[in-house]
Amino acid sequence: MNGYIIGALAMASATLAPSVAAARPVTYPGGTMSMAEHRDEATMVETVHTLSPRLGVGWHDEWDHEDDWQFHGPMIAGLARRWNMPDAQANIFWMAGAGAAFDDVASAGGPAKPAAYASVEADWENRRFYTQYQARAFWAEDIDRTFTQRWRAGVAPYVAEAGALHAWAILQVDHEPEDADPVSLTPMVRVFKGAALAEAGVSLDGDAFAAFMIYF
Amino acid sequence: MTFHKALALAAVLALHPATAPAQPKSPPSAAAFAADAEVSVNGLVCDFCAQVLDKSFKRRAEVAAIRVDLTTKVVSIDFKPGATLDDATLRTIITNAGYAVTAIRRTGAPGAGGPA
Repeated sequence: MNGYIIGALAMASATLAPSVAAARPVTYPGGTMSMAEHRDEATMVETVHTLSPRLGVGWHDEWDHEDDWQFHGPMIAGLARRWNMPDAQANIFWMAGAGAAFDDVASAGGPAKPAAYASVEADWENRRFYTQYQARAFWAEDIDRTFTQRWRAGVAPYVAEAGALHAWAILQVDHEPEDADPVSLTPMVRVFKGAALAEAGVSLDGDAFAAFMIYF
Repeated sequence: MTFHKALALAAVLALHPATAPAQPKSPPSAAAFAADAEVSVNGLVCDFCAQVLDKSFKRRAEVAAIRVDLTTKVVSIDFKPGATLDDATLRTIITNAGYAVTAIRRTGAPGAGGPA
């Protein structure tokens, strides 16, 4: 019974306190974050170099396997607000990118079309619980226009010290209103140690999810 | 039903440490790390926080070693012989890394300490 209560609390925290940030795009001045995420529907690769405590610049690549288009372009990321509490931290990040999109990638490849995206992310975590929310809008002329949301809630089975292996059980909820099945739930496991993080899971629909991130 | 199973799995992992990886070793005790300065910091919640502070401090020539304790929220800094960083600089490094300083304590003569 306690297990169901904890699970329900984790879900509630994700719903009531939407936040984000599997990736913290802005780290520390001079630091760089690279991440890759793969789902059956799409693959993303991103690198962000932090210029100042609140601003980073980088490059974003994205492949939409379902609608058969790619996006490539520079991006900018900012830390809008951070709350440092004695036993927790919360953040609001924003990101935006502009570049070129190409459709019919699997065949001949279409001409470059202007494209852009913007997103906002928020997260809250302590050493035991974690929740995050992301909202993202993408536009590519004549190719695609999407609005997506992602909620996450996680719990750490044990509290790890610095330098040890950290592990989390996470439930991810993706909302893509244009899809025939607009909501997908993906339980996953996250592990990280030092400057590297990996996540892997399978949605309840059977779609694989994997992500990797490293700071250097 | 499957949804409930997924929720239950995540919760069970949290409530039964025996099913999780072995508890990691504790960090070195304070006595094993003769820090020259100890800084209490808000916002330290994960290993990335420790990594960020480690990278930020190790860029400074004055710093010999640092240790981050996520439980006590204390960053312990050991300076090289004869070197030190003043409180304002310590505060700037930690603030720029994204965290909030709540207290700074000097625990020895400049550069007197060193990792065991």
